[in-house]
Amino acid sequence: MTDIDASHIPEDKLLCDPGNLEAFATELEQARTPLPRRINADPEGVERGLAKLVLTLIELLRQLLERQALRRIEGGSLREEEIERLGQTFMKLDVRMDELKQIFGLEDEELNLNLGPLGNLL
Amino acid sequence: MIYLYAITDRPEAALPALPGLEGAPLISLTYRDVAAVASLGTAPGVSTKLSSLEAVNIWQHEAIVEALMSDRTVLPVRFGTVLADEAALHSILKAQYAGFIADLEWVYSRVELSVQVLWDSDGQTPTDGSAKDINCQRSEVSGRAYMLARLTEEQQAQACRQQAETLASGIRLPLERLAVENTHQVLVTPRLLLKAAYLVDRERMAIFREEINNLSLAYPTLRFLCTGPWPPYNFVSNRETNLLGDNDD
Repeated sequence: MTDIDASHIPEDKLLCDPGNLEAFATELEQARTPLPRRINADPEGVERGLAKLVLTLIELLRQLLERQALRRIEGGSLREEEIERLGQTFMKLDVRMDELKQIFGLEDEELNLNLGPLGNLL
Repeated sequence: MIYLYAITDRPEAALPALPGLEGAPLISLTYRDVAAVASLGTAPGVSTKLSSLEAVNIWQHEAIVEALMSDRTVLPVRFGTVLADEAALHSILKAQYAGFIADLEWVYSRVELSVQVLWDSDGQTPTDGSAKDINCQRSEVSGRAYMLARLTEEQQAQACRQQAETLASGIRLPLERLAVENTHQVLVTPRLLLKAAYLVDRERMAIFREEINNLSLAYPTLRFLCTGPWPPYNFVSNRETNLLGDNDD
């Protein structure tokens, strides 16, 4: 309930009024769970729902691999040609992800999972 | 189908004179000294309608839970929780009775206060020469340039995160001293520095509010939103998950 649209909070619930509630409403809207607890099983929505879930997991793996590569670059354990090859790979993966998102009509911020008290997956 | 609003103590207390969702009357189902407040749905597909995430439905759910909170202790149930029938609800009350009693004792005479803090993390979002920009012209640039741009972005993001954690910590500590339990998240979105909920003794609400005002003065560049009192939604979450279990589909 405390996550509902901040612009609709009754005045008697405002213990500290920051003036512009719209700014909070915008952020809280973005903070909402991008993926529902269950996949929408209606025939029209199921393909997009599954695509969203699968692309979220691919994006998670992509980010994990990329961060591992960045740590190795920072640590100086990669040769120049290895950095070049990894960069090319991640660039291609990035482009491919953009294509898939476009096909299924998904935005970057939609690819996420809410892990409850742990926060968002990505 | 049966739509659930809350688990409460004082089962003998009269139900609020409010209609339930879809205009259905409120009912109370008692097990020993706890009660479940619900409303019945009869039409086919009613569960979908009842859980429809519309502001009017959410506020109606909230109004019922708050009305209950005015004269009894309440374990609010997440909006949209639908069970098969009264028998299913009764078996949950029976199976989780000890947990409900423990939770009711824990939240007795306590309320949830919500705090959100916005900041302006200027300069933290890479613009010129970011990895994304470089990738847009990738036929002309090297993989190495892309990785170095990504490295810069990651370093900036990490510095931003550290700054946010330090600021959030300074805000959280005085508030946590006034609460018996709390939950918080830092940077849920790039501008939402802190999103927190505090379980506070009802009589300490005024002190909590005063502390928020002090923090607003101490951090003039941040914007604070503090709301409440709310039913303790964030402090009965495990119970809520169990309630949802296999019974709501």
